[in-house]
Amino acid sequence: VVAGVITLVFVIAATFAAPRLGIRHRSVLAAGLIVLAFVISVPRTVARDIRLVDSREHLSVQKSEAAAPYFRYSSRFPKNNRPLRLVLAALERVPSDAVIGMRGRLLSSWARRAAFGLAPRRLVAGLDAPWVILVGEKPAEAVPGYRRAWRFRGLWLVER
Amino acid sequence: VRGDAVRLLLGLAGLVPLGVAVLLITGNWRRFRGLLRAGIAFFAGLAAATALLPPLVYLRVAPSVPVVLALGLLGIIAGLALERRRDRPEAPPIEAVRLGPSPAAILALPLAFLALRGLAQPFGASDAFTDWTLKAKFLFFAGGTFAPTLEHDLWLYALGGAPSPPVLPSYPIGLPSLEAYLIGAMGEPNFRALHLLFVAFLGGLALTLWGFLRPYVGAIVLTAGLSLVLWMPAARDYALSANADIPLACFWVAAVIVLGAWVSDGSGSTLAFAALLLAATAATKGEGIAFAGLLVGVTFAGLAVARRWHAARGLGLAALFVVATVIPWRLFIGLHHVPARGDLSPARALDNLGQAPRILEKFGELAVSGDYLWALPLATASALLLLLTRRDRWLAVRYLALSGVVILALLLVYMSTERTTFLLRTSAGRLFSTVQLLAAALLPLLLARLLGQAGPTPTTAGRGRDPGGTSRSEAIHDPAAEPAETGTEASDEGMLRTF
Repeated sequence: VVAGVITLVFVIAATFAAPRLGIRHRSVLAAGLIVLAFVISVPRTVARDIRLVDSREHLSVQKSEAAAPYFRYSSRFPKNNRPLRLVLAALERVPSDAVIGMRGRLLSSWARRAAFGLAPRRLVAGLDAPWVILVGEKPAEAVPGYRRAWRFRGLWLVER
Repeated sequence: VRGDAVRLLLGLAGLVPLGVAVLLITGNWRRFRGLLRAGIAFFAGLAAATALLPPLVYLRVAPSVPVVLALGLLGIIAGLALERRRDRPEAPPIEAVRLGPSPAAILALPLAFLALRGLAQPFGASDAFTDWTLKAKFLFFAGGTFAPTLEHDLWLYALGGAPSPPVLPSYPIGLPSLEAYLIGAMGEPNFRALHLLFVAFLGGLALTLWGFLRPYVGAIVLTAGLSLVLWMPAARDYALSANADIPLACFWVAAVIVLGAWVSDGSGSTLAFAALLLAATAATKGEGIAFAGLLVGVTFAGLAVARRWHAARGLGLAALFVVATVIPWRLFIGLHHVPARGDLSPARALDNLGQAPRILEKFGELAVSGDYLWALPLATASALLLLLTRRDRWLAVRYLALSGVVILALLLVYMSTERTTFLLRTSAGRLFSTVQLLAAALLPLLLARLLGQAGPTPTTAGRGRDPGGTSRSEAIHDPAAEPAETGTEASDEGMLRTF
């Protein structure tokens, strides 16, 4: 803010001083006014870029892609995030052209994050699918006769 | 990531032939030289791909490397034929523009840091993974066809019985098509590498601004001004958010500058390039259509005030071209019964008049935010001083009018939704980046005019100086300095050569 106010004052002063200056000095003055507006922020911007580069773990492409939406709240790989663990497990087990049903008390943002990581697998609402994600329900109750199931503390990935 | 980044860069380079074709077809090939020509060809390729790939997708032609290269090759053949057929190759209205090694190195520095950060940073912004990039991913895996994606339950999922409509199936697919092409170039989705596309958008914008502003602004001032654009923290963050806002802002701001150059030089080549940028703007995002319309409207009003009816007719033709590029998408979503965005209603704006002060307060915060490096206050102050000192009223009025109508349009958008609080919190900053980038892009020109720093004199033979002794470059944008137009081709050309 201080840099902005100072620059603004300088712009007004330069407007009235410019007619007394030669053309080359006017160029330098105009460039200087612009540089003044951003030069203070450059070291901070560069430091932030470098810090962000350093803080990221080197992940596999697939892991990084599936985990991307979950990084929003964490600068490190959120390995204890249950929905992410479920998504990573589904990526290993569910064929890429499969349809996955979802049921339970879900936040839509949860489903959107999972949808990005699981694509091109299709997510649909309900249980009418060969693979199912359950939230707050047990497979034996929701999908009678299921083949296999994997549990992630309250979340289930179920294969019919 | 490195291998994918190299393949992605090769994919980006694959857009250059398409851009070369654009420069040849529009008659802008001779306007630039060396590295600058390659850079502007790249940005033109980005714009052409954004506007051209979606209609091909509707015809079930995948946005793939062979398709883009074939389009470029066909375009180059057509462009070369056009160049030969032109009786008198359109002489550039100004001396061919170059970019020296020193400014190139200065401008490359912020982009290099941003690229390094992009390669390390995962995709994290909500709209990127719920809409833009998700569409690209489905587009890639569906073999380039989009209808199955739209029919996907995902867009309308009602999980847990609660419909969740925030994904935007009715938004144009220019950016997803471009991303699907680049995913194809990489061979698999790697979204960290895909960040380079957004870095390239900023780089392409900087080169295009250099190409079209350099005739009017000195190299030192322009280097400083474009550095301001590239070091702007908010623009850098929003670029790496992988949302469509920065691509939209880049195309639109470039269109503003190129259309402004056309107002000055009157060349059909310049107008044709501006029309392509407007078409790319409209193909990028829903707001893009409105922003393109506002730009055409403000420019038309300026031409009408100056009574340049012949030029206004040319602008009308360019606007028709842009409308024609929007029609295929509207037809496609109509045929596939794609639901329109339901949370925006113009009628609601009247009911929400009470929200206006809160929205304007938020805009005020964003206007003076240090994240935008004070671009808007500085540009606005420069424009007001230009008005007060009468040094270039036309440029000042055009800038103020354009910024004003865009801010007004954004105000209406936020008043038209019932989720004002949520949208102000989540999207106001990135939508406002368009206004801030415009301010930053125009700041070197505004300051150059304000301080009387003349750029190189255009080389076109003309009638030289106005009676007041103003140099030609100082007279740019001042309709008062233009001779009256009679509406004939000859007189129009004579008027344009005045600059």
